[in-house]
Amino acid sequence: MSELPELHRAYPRPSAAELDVALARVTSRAAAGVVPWRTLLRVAAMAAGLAIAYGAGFAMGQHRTAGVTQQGIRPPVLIAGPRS
Amino acid sequence: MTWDPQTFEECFRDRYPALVQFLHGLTGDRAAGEDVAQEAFIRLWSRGPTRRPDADYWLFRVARNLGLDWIKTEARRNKRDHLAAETADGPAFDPEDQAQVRRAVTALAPRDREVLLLREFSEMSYEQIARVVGRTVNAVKQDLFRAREHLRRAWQAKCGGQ
Repeated sequence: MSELPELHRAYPRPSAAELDVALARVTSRAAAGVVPWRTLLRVAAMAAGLAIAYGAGFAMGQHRTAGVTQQGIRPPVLIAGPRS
Repeated sequence: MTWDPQTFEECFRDRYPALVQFLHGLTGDRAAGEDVAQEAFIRLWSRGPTRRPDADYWLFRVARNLGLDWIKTEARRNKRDHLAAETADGPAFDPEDQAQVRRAVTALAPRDREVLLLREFSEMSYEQIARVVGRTVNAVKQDLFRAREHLRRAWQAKCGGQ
């Protein structure tokens, strides 16, 4: 028995009808949305990670290639003549 | 591990009313109490413990945190409504008395209020309440004593003043 019965009257319990409505709402939302949504988020995060890694690798490769072409590959130049 | 639907329904029917009462008192808003209680049950279904009584304790802990978040958000919006319309199915109770009690509860310090409401509505032990609010058992008992005294004084002042 509560020491403060007026507290229970000030904050009444939900009625049976309210309880049924709330249960229907919770079970439909729980069954429909939550678990697939979380799985979807996880898959999306993995795909985003892979895409970022691929993009970073591609960009680095491009940068290196650009550096090499700028330097150019020159044929060896003969500076000294043949020894006499 | 997932919930067996029938067990979940039993848990819901058993704990939802107390959760709504607790959250109504904590937030000061009946509709918010119902929304937060339902959100807590949805989280219980998807990621909470699938056995009782662990689920009971877990529910109140999550609901309390969600309720405190709601209070912070509402405080920012500055649109708090302490006396939401509601459908009472209990015994007849003077609306002015109801408002008086709610005002007294709202006037309590937040830590005292949550302990009082948990003790009154959740039927949890002091140890379980201490786990929910993250305090020691002795601290919980002190908070509860202070809250009850405050309410009694408020009630006596009201009755004496009439």
